[in-house]
Amino acid sequence: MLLKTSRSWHFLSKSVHLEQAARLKAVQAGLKAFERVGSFIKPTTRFIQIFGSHATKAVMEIDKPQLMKLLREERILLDDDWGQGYVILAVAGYGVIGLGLLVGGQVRSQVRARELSGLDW
Amino acid sequence: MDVLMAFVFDEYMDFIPDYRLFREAVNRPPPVHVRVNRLKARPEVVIASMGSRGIKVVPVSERFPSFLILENVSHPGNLPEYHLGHIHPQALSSCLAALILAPSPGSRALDMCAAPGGKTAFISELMQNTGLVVANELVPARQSPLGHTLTRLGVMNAVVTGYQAQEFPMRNRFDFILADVPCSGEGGFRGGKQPKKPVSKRGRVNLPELQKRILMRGFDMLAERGVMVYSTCTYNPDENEAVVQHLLEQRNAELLPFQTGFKQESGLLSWKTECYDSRLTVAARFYPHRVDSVGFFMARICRRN
Repeated sequence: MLLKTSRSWHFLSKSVHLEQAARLKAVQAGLKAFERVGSFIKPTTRFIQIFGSHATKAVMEIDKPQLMKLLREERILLDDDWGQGYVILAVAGYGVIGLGLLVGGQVRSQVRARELSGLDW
Repeated sequence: MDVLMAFVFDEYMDFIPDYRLFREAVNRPPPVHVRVNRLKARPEVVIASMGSRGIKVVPVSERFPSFLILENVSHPGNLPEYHLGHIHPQALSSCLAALILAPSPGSRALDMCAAPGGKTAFISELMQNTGLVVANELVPARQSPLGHTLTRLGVMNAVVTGYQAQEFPMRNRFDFILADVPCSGEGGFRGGKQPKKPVSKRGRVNLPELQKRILMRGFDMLAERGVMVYSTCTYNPDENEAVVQHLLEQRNAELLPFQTGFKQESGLLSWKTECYDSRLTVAARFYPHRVDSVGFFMARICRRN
């Protein structure tokens, strides 16, 4: 089921026990799936990592050199016209790592840079 | 060996088997254990991926292909698999607490002292992300990393709460409860890691008293056929057998035997001037020279029919 807060939506497994959970003072519930960013509703990195593999479109597969370039320069210039909006970023050998944002013929990573840049890829 | 540490553990030499080997193990750093998170990945895929990059991956046992030792990695948190939530750095003995609890899919589970969240996430995994897991953590500064851990590992059946464990609202009932209580943490003193306060009192907090209150409250919230696990990462009988003894004296509780597939020692029947209930032999102690991991104590508890 989807729980809504003022700026985000959370996935919580449907269960007959949710009534019990509703009586508790919760600090967090389930997995944050979407959040409002300006006028957009953006899927979260963790949501995309789980469900992105089921997507049939807007999936951009990049190789390791492209990933390194993305981490270094925070963007990759694209040869093809992908349009604008969010894409699912998948890295060969690792699968879906998160989201990218297509703007003006380039893709920018939407995963926090500090999360990715320090990793031993 | 550090003088202070030698003193602390020498107090236990009468009941720790092969004490010399124990001391040698304490002087060695523990291996880097990680657990493959089956909510997001399969062990064979993770092993193949890391192996292709030159990482030496050794499964801990054939029975548990999700538990891995990374032989040439010192910081598993720097691996992409960590970011992707495919692995979680977690001591082998720490993983055993959730295994012993054995929560079933669709049930209600409570982790009374949940941060940093490795055991909670494993409970969710064993429940296949179904039912309800309440991850309770009193300290606000620890709730954030707990939430991040659960989110990174793809947990979708958990609710995080911030109650004092010993005062968790009594109106709730749970089928499975893990009380991995605050303890003196002696089991984690390995490879030169120094104890901050190797005694059973932290400031004004009397740990055994706190542990007893948490265990009692947990037991009182246990459903009729529920199962509870009490665990600590310390060797101190005052925080282990004596706490469970208190429960057995105060409540209609029973201890359940369990086998993990790893070398475990029975709970103690006496220490110094204290004598414990004979049922405590079915509790388990895990030592670093038997299971090359963090020292732990665990007891599996149910209501007595």
